[in-house]
Parts: sequence; structure tokens; C-alpha cells
Amino acid sequence: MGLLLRMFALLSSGVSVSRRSAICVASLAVGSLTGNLLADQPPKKIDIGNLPAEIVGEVVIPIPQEIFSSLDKLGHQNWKSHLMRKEASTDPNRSRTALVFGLVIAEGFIAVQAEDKDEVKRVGREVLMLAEKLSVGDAVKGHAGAIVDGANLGDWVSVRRELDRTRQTVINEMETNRDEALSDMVSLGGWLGGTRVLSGVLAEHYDPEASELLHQPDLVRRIQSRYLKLPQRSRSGSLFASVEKVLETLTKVMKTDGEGKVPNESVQQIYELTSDLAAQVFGK
Amino acid sequence: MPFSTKFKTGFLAVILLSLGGLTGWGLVHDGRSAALEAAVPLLELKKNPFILRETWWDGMLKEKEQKLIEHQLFKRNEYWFWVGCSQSGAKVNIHIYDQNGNLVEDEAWEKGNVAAARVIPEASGTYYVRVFLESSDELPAEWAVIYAYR
Repeated sequence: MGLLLRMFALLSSGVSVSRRSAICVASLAVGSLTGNLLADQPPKKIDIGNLPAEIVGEVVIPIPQEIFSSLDKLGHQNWKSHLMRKEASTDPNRSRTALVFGLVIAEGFIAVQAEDKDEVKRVGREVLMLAEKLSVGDAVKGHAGAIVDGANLGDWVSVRRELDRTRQTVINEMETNRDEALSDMVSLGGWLGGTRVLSGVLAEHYDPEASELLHQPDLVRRIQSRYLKLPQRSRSGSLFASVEKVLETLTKVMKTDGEGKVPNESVQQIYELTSDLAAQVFGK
Repeated sequence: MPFSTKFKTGFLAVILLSLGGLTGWGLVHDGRSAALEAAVPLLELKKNPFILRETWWDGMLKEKEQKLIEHQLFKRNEYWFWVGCSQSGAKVNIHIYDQNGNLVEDEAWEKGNVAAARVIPEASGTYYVRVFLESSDELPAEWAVIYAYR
């Protein structure tokens, strides 16, 4: 409307006809351009709760490397001291094997941070062994080989990529085989391993600035919600009762206080809960 | 096809295969391939390249429809999100909001069926990636979002 008024004023003014036409054309062009730009401008604020938009159901869990990448920017960390170095054992319980698989992948990321060749190679071998137990060995063989080769070459970038690919390949295979419960267990195991080491680093040397990386209340809630929807047969037994209990507690403690930090007591509690649970998953 | 174009296409195919081929997704979903093609220059940076996550979100969008992706981001990291639509005539955009609904991206661009947004989160926590389909010659349009961090 403003543009039309301006054009009307211009046409009624004493400016020559040809000049007026040129200005009108230019005004229209500018107006149209501005309109397009405005149409392309995203809203500066949206009402998340009332937006007519579906929230995509897929929960993508950050890999440990994403958290380590942030933590490393705050200074050198002694990653080596946080490796669990547990040998993975399996039993007929495929849900537990899937949890172990996720934990072993997380261990792989820690070993890469520590640039520990032997540990990365061991992880590569365990990944293959566990994948075979989960009937996805063929899909993982190439990745496991690439993890070992990358470790031999000290090519940590490629090892990190292969660890993420391994995790994703196993999840894809399980989803293709309609083993969504196992796929969720792999993701849960990976997140547990990453949270254990993050809280371990912070429990050892508390840093309020870094502590806020543990602020993950919505993520824990989504993980918990998916976990509780898994069929009961996939999470029966004392280990899975512990998982449920730990997740419930973590929803209450993995958040910042009024000052934007996760308190030291919470960090210690998160570390205790996640390291106990990880040990329980490994079965030793 | 001129040699240089052929070379570029071949080179891109090799990169797509090496980045996504092993997991089998690089060439299956055209939207993902389009997003990945846009991401390649940042993943191939000589210094401090972005690290692509091997996971993604996907789905279908009707015209003027939007979807929200809820995702945990971490302070001090830098993230790029790319959306690609399988329909080459689609017009899509992507933007990032914090949990209070404030637009928080540091940069965003859109180019037809591909768009991207970059954010350096001021705090760790949940963020919302909003994907919006402006228009498309075929509906519903198939979309995929990938992301990378450093």
C-alpha cells in the first residue's frame, strides 16, 4: 500500500513523464525485490509449543566426538585415563549385546581422542565380534577393517568417521530387519558411554564452564521415553531395570542451575550412575 | 558434456561415494545427495574441516508446510545443517531456533531445492531446526536434513 501511495504522489508531482515512468518501474522493481526478500526472511521468533508443525520423531543422539570436540576447546584432557578397557562379553541376551556394542563404539571414540592405537585396534576387533553376534557382521566387516587400518596409520579423522559409520550401519541394518529395539539399545549404549566419560572428566577436574555440556534434559527425556516404549521382552531382567532407574534419575540431574552450570554434586552423581551402569552392562 | 563438467561430475560422484557410499545412502535419496553436494566444500576444507554425521532426518513436506527437528547441540561447537529436496524444482529453507523459539542462526542461505543454516550455540541444550517448503513442482516433496560440526 505504501508503495502505491508513493507512486500516486510521484505521478501527481511535477516530474517529467519519462522520468516518472522510469522511477515508477524502478520503484516496482525495488518493491518486488523487497517483497521477495521479506518473504524469504524467517520469523525472528516462533512459538514452539503452538506452531502448526510436526516435530520429527527421529531422535538423533549426538556421538561422543561431538561433545569431546567442545570439551577439547577448553584445554587438553587426559582421555587415556578414562578408557574402561573392558573386554566385551556376550550372552544370548541380544539387547545387552546391543548395549555393549554402543558402549564399545563410545570407547572407540575415547581411544581416538587418546590417540591410543592398540586400544582403537582392539575396539575394531570387538566391533566385528559384536556385530557378528547381532547378525550384522557382513555389513560391518568393511568398517571394522577400516578402523584397524586407520589406527595403524594414525589416521584419526578416518577412524572417527568409520566409528560413526559403523554405528549408523548397525542401526540401519537393525531397522531394516525390524529390530528397532536393538537399534535403540545401540544408541543408548553409545550415549551412556559418552556421558560416562564426559562426567568422568568433569568429576576429576570440575569446571563450571564445561559442566553445562551435561545440560541435556530434553535429550534424556526423549531417550527415556523411547526406552519405555520398547517391548517389555527387550528390556526384561535386572540390568534393564537399572537402565530404567538410571534414566529416571538422569532426567532430574542433567540440567543447569540458575547460573548456567551443572553443579559439581550432580556431575559426581551422573558419573557414579553412568559408570556403574556401564560396568553392569559389560558384566564385570 | 564438456570435459570439465564431466570431470566435475565424476569428481563429485567419487566424493559422494567416499563420504556416503559405504553406508549406502549417498546415492539412494536424491534429497540427501543434494544436501551432501552442498556440504562437500566444508567437509573438504584443508584446515579444520567440518565433520559430517552419518545420520540424517527425512520425510515428506506439502507446500507451505514446516517440520521441526529437535536436536541437542553443544556450546563451543559450530554446526551446519543442510536440507535437500529430491524434487529439483522445489524451493525450501532451513532455520535454527533455540528452545524459547528465538532465531539463533549465524548464517543461512537457500538455493532452490537446497538450503543451509549455520549456528554456534551460546549454550548447550535443545535447539529446533525448522524446515519449510515454499513450493515444489511435485508434491509432496521428499526432504532430508544432514548436519556437520567442528
